Amino acid sequence: MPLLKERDRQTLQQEFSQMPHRVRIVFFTQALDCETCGITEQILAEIEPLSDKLELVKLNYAIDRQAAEHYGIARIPAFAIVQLRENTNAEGESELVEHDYGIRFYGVPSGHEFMSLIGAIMDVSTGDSQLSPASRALAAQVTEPTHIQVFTTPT
Amino acid sequence: MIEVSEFPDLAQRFQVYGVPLTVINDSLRFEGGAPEVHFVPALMSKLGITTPASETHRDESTGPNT
Repeated sequence: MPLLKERDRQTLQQEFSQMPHRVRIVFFTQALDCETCGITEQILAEIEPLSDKLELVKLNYAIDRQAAEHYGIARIPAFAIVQLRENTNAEGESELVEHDYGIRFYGVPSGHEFMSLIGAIMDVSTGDSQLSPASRALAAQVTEPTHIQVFTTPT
Repeated sequence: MIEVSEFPDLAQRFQVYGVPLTVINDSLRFEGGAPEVHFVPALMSKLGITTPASETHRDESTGPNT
């Protein structure tokens, strides 16, 4: 049974129609010992077809270790949201290049976090945080790699 | 973004008793949510940043050399 209602799908389709750049969701999962991997996959799989600029890549956390390390994933369910930009390589061929803003989700993106997920997709697509000039001026002072974790619950 | 009820080890490690909880570099904590105008300065002050970049530039341009 689908989680998204038809009305929700239409609203999301309209929202996603504003996406300037393509977005890839890199999802890490495994079949065993992961209680919430299935529901997380279902949510992502229902979102993906709502825009031709969205793509879902499903990786096995136990097998695709190199990718897990590349994205810094140490627990599941988890996904990275990255921007895809067309780039012309040295041979003059067009290729898609990932722009990783470091955004990761751990656990089921439901409740309020479903809206955080949609917001993150839109922010990654535009490549714009939508922060005020004052906030940007402060954040511009950060010169070291900084790890920010936001803990939430589904309610 | 971490749905903490699924990761009890993290809840224990970072002593998550209420949400949202923001943890910077595994040690600096900001509890609760706030509008951007308060939240961003609060986060930045945890990193020792209180002066916007533009003001720093202005300070430089109006410094002893000008």
